[in-house]
Amino acid sequence: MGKHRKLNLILLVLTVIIFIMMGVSFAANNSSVSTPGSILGTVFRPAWQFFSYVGNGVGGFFDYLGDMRNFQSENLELKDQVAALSEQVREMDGYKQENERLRRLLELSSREEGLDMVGCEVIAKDPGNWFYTFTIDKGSHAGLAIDDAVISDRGLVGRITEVGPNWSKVLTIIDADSSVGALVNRTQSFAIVDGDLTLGDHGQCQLNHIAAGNSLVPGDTIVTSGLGGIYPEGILIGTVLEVKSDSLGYSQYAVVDTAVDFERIREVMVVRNGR
Amino acid sequence: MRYDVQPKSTIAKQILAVVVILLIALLQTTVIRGLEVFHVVPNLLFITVVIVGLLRGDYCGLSVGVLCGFLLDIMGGRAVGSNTLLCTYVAYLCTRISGSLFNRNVFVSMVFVLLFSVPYELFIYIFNFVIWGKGAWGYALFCKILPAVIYNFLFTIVLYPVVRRLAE
Repeated sequence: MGKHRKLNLILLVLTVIIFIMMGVSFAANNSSVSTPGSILGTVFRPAWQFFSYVGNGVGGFFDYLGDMRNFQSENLELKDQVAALSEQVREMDGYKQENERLRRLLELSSREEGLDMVGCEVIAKDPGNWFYTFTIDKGSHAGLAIDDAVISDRGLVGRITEVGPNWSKVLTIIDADSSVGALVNRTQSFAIVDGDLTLGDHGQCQLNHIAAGNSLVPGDTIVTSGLGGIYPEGILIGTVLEVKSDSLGYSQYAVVDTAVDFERIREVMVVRNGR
Repeated sequence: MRYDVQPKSTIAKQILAVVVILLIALLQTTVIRGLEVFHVVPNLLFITVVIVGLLRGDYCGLSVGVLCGFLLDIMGGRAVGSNTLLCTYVAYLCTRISGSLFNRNVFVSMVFVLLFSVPYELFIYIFNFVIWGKGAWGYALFCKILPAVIYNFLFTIVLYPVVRRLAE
């Protein structure tokens, strides 16, 4: 058999195998991790952790280079600000004490609501340019499960879509596959926050299915509605940036600026819901 | 007597090649994010597939295509298959083209990375967005596909020396 014919035959066999793999993967609806994926994730975890530290360093270095030009003018501004800030430091001491008090209250409130949270670190990001997912350093051994909500100190991050023994994959709310039940704080009306391909790069999402008669204004705060059973109620998603109408003018949608900075996200908390 | 067992040095080289590819995959999901330009990063595994396919032009090129595609699928956390299929076919085309090439240098690899990146990115976009009704052609072409293709093209210069040693 000629070399090319043999290569064609191998390609045909590979194509059939890959299509079977795709079929199995779609049938599983991404609800569970394939064995090779799970093994690879477990093996990769320490290396992911190491390289994520290196990656953060590289990112920081390039940010520094980009900012070099502005340093001189910033320096002068900062000198003026130092004088003003010294005055504010005294006030800050008072705020600090108040903050600690409120933090204790918040922790108490969380416990009362029965939120069981685990702190996790982001160790790897999506390899491509189209999706907004990342990997965290805890998995089923820490009690994490698929569809557990992921939050940060600023607001809602996303949900877990895959779980390995010591790692999990998180689908962020800016990904085009994400959909979150939301509530407009001012009007108390329900809506849906959807990820969008064109907005994700800017850390934004789209607020859809806004009930008729509920007019939104820029600055409106959007929180989770708690409907659907994945995300706990009342977690900050973001604020309305602008309100738009669809091409026919029948319905309106809004662009939401998310509270979380997805480019610089390092630590998250997973809300274990005990499924 | 004839033995069909591969020499130890060949097996060691193959293991080393797999380790290097795994290392490239790790870089793809971690360090490379620090080199993001216009929200786009180069696809190191895809570039590796093209370079190895062109340099080796045999089953080795095809195997690297399958492995790199599979790694991209698994690390992306989406349905397994689309990247594996694409990288396998790109590797196959590269191995077929390889035989007709008089010159195999970094510039030839850059040109083929550029040529294959366009259908690769287009397919990913169509498969994951357009058929699900989430397409936005203008944005996808000018803010995702074009920057990614150019970045892959330029990053081939950086990756070529490493991958060439791997292919040898």
